[in-house]
Amino acid sequence: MRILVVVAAAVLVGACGAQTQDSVPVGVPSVVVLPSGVQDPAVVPDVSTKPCNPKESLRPGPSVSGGAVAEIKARGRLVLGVGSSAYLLSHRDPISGRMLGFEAEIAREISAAIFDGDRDKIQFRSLNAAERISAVRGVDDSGKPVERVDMVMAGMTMTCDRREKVAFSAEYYSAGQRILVNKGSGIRSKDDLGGRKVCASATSTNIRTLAELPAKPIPVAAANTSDCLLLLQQGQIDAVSTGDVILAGLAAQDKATEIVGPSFTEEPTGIAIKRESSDLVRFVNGVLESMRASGKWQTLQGDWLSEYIGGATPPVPVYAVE
Amino acid sequence: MPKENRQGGLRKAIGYSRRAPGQLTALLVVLVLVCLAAGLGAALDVQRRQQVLGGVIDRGGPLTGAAVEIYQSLSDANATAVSAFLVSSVEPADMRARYESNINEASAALSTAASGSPTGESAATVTRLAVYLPRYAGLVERAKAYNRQGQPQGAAYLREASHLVQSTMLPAAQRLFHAETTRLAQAQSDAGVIGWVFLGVGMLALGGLVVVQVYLARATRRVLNAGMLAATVAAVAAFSWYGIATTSAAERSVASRQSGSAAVEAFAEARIKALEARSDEALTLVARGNGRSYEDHFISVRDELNNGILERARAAAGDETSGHIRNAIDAWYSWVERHRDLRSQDDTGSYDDAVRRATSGDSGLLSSRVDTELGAAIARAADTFRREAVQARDALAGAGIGIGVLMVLAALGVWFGLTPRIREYR
Repeated sequence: MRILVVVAAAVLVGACGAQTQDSVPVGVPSVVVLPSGVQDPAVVPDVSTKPCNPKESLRPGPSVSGGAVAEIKARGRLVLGVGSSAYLLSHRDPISGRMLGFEAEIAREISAAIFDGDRDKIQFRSLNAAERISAVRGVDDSGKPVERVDMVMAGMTMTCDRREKVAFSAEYYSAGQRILVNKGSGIRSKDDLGGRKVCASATSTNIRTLAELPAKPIPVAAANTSDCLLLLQQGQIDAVSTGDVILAGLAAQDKATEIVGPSFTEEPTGIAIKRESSDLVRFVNGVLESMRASGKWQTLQGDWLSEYIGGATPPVPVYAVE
Repeated sequence: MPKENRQGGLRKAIGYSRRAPGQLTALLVVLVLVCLAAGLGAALDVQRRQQVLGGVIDRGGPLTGAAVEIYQSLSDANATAVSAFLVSSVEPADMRARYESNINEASAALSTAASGSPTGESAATVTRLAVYLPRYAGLVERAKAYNRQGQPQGAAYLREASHLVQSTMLPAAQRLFHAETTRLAQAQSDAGVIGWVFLGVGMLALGGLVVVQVYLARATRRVLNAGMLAATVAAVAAFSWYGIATTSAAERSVASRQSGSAAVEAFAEARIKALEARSDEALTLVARGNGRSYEDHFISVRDELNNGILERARAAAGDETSGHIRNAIDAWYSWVERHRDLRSQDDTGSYDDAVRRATSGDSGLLSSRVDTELGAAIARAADTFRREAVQARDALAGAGIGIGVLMVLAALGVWFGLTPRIREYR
């Protein structure tokens, strides 16, 4: 009888028994949030050994029938590649939706010249730094077709390496690589960058320059320079180093940063155009020529840039001997 | 001990058992043990089924529901934040409200998921999502602050935020959803199996009781033994109860799967893809001519929906949900057409028209309708799931204890039925 009671009790206890949960406490995961396309450390782009004069372009000339200018005119709009949110150069104003900046205004001058005074026949396409050359050529490095643009104006440094793939207009701005840091960082020039993480846009000439500095900074590449400012603000890097015009646009958006040290490279900035479209190169150079002559260039520099990097004179164009 | 004695003892034991009282005592012990073991086994089986169904209702259902909710609200929050950036001038109040309610819902769904006691990988996923959510919201707020100052740095923050959601948080929410639906389906099929084993054991016990009574009737010439009869009645009652309760629970469990959670899964899959398409449309425009990868993704999502996912949703729909699913599918096909128009506008330079179409035009309205209709269908199917699962659990209510008590009574009946017979031989 006693056995029965024990077994019955076991049945009842079993039926009411509490179920056990096997949940375990989870530790706090370490979390790193990055913009897409960050390389840390950066892949350093190769440099061409072919000597050339990077500033050289074609002498201004008229558009020819059946050429690239005629094609743009027939299409009814100029397709222009610009940087992603490059403040002061070309950025979309969040309030009005309009593209604003020094480069955007030069583009409007070109539009006016092509479309008989209509300044807004432009389709802006924003491009990451690494996509600029592919977009001009219409194919990427692996030969895959990509959507083509008529020209790219995105703070692009004219180099011998790039000249092998695309043509450049005459220089429209003489930039130089400098350094942007948080105020009070203790970094005063390129010599203070040893062992520090320094950001520039991927595949840009700035990455190569950083990698070759004697102080040996650690180059970090981002998809574009606005991502570099973001990384600086998030404390993920120590400095941004790229052309002074671009840095001015970044510094203007963050009063807690400053541009330090003298410029340590010469970065002629030009408009990239397909090599075959030589009539477009000549046409654009004609527009730039008249902007310099009329004082329009100087007005735009004053409107957009002088407040941040001081006044400047227009670059003197270098034309190839033909 | 000398060998002879032991053999003698053995022979004596065999001799005792051959005589009637020995046989009866042995039968008594065997029958009592069989009754108790059958009762214990069946009661434990019922209890296990109750636990499984309880887990389905209290854990599985809410966790899979929360996983869908997390995905839906994050994806919608991001698509809304991105769209709001497209609208020139100040962020519209309705978009602000929609973004904020999405963040609130994601946060609430995460705490629901955490209180559903996820285990292992799912627990780690819920924690990661909970860590990322405030980071995401912080990035979006910073983007908005820059935007209000007219500075394009906001776009960089928006891209980072969007990247966090698209490449880290949404895949995690999707993993959570798949892990929990798989677990839920497993639990439902466990509870949907009819308990043949214990029905067999019950038949064995009943057979034993009947055989012993026939034997007793022959040996004692008394036709009825009250104790044994009571034991038989108790055993019949116990195993009828077991059979009816578990079979009906199994049927309910299968129903909770078919018209409940399986439908939720099919609809949720369609909703997740439709949300991806909506984000792609907005992100393509935000990328401003650099959105090829988003448009390619839109096309692959569109093909997935057209070639199978929508058909599965239609097949899974029951009477309550088929109306919503039909509306969702109609809206989807209209949206795809509007999307084509929108893309050709953007590609031919009419950027502002394309933006208007995506944010406040027909394309935006249709994509919202797809989401709303699928959301309503999911809510209906989730109700069905819960109702059937609760009924499955209720069918088992009290069965464990009841069967246990009845089989203890059966054992007592055997005891009180056989001990007087054994005593008669003394």
